[in-house]
Amino acid sequence: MKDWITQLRKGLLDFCVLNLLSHGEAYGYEIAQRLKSLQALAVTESTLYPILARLRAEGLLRVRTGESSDGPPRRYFSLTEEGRERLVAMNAYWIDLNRVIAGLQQGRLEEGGYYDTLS
Amino acid sequence: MTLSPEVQDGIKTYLWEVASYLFATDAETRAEILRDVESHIHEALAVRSAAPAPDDLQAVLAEMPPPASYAPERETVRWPSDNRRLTWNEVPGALVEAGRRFIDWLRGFVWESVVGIILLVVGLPLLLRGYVLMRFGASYNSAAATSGAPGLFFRSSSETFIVIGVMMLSLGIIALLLACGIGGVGIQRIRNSDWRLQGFTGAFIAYIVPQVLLITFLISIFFLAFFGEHGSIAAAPIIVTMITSLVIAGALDYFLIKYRWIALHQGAPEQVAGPTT
Repeated sequence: MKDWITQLRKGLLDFCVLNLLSHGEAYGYEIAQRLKSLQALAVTESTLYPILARLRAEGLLRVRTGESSDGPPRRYFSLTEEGRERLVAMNAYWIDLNRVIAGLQQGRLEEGGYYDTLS
Repeated sequence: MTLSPEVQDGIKTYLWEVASYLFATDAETRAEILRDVESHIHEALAVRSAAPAPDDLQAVLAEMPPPASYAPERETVRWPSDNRRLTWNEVPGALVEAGRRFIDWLRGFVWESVVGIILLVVGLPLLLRGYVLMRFGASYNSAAATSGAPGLFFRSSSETFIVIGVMMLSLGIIALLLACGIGGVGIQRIRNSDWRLQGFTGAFIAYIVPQVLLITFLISIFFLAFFGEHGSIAAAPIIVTMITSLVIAGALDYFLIKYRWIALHQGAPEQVAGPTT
């Protein structure tokens, strides 16, 4: 994959995982299948599972183990309160970023919005 | 779902390979990732069959990324991050932080690189010291034989020097050959990880230095044998040892290049069809 796509995608995957889990808990394989079905994201297991482990270590996700008839116990991931707060901030920033980039594409300089409240 | 021992072994092998690329990650995160990957493989197998065969496992693993892609990305650590002067009160905390960052940085290296360099540091002095002691023992022997005088040492000392010299020389050569092999494996792993693992310079030095050194040593001893005062008989054992070492180093090179080829072309060189003329 082209290097710039990899760079652009890197930060987006956290965002995608958090958004996906905002609709309810899911186990690793389930998350992988859903994200892999979105071809533009080009998610692989080797990028997804380290992200899940990191987000859990950062306190944005919690893990619950549940029985599985197909092997080791399933690990269900869900958002913590901190994770929800982060997602709200990320979504707001994403909307702002989209607006700014759309402005740049049309030759306008957009100012203000959520990003200014962060800095 | 029931798994045959063959399938279970295949899963273990894949997980073991993944784990080997996650060595730079802390133990808790590594265990977590491995649990998720293992669970993923089981779920994927269950989708295929209630009693998956080794072929099913092969198909599942083929859809998954290669173990090397689990290697964490290289991170450049800049410190102090804001390029400002520290106040005296901040120094103790800064030292602890510097230590923590150094350990984190070191964890990003392939262990082959670190071990290879340690072996070089141990092996080189052993080799040189062993050589000096052997030469000294041999000269003392010949001097004592011509003059008949006991000299400064007991008669047995000359033999002791030769024996210790031979032992040190052998240990030095073994250490250097190990450094060479380990360095080669390190280079391989760094390349397989798409350069996400660090330590290429160390692994390369460990790989190439013993070979260059052995060749240089062999050439110099060869000259000593023909033009030195002790002649070819005194140098013969060392020349034989060096040639043997070089042959081993050459064999290591051959196998590393061959396995690199297999990894790149998914088949042994003789199995891959060459260009048709």
